[in-house]
Amino acid sequence: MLHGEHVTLRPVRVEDLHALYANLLDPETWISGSDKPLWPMPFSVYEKMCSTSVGDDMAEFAVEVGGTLIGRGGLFEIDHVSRNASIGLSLCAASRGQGFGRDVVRVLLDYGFQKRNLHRIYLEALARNIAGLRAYAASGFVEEGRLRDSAYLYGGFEDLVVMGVLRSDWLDSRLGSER
Amino acid sequence: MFSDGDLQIRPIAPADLPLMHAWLVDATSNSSADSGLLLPLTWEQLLERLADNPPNQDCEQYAIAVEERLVGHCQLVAFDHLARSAEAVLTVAPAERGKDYGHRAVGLLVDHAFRDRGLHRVWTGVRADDEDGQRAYGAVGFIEETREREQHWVNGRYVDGIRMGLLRPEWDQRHAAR
Repeated sequence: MLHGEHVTLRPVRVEDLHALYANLLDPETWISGSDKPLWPMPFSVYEKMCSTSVGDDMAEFAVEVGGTLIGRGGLFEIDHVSRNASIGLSLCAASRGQGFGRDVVRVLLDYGFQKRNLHRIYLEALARNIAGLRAYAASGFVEEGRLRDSAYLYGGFEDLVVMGVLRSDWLDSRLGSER
Repeated sequence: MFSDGDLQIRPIAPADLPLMHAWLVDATSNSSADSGLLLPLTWEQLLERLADNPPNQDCEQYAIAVEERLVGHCQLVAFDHLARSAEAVLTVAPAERGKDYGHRAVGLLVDHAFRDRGLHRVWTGVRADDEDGQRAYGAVGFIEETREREQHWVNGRYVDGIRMGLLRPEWDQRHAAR
């Protein structure tokens, strides 16, 4: 449906849910994608959550590389007045470190600005997620501040870093890449 | 319920609602919390909305009163039980601004949050054009943590969002100094 350099983003199918659920329960994946505690979420709850989390305020995709499902990613909390959305992705451990995340982010930015006419896309990430922060910065996100002690994990409080990219930033970076 | 001299924050009573409805639909009283979106909410819709969201422990709603006169509305919402944080929301009636009521109400709200609810962090979102709001929270010790570029569409233009936070050790220190 949407294509990046390596990745394809397509609608989530019912048959993806078991693989996505297993991926979600991996503690490292959980931490990279959520500031909520890891808990033994039953499959039935996950299934229900997925079926009710569809609406015009979000657009979530399954992410594939070479026909294999590697995770999910999308735009959430779409605000139709201020025309902004948050971005989130969760890729399985085995697929990390190969630039797929950056590829997904680029596809989602193009989708958000070109197809959804957004003005701003933002995220909150754990301060310890250095690789993620670097990848977002390379995709055009600018750090806009740190929410002090906003998350709790591994026995302590941790900052959440807020990053945002404006439509004008995205246009500039596209012009830059075409030069 | 909690008071500071002649100002108190207390549960909302049915008699408060007509005035609160008037603030909601008054273009000049839009609180910083909603992104300036003015909805023609009818009285019936407001009552329905209240019935759909009955008050509970994770959504503390207070009326701000000065000598029995309703001057505003404040809330503690978005409780995060793991990170022990909550969001503070404040609305001061247009006619009651500039009298330091917001600062005093937030002071009471924050004392309650740290003292009674054992929170570690209280935060709020204010718009960059809402100087009264920034001053009210700043006077209680909130620190500006983010400036989210062009986050809100308000009156025909984009305005930055600011998030401010106050941590328990900072509150302890101010509390000890009082």
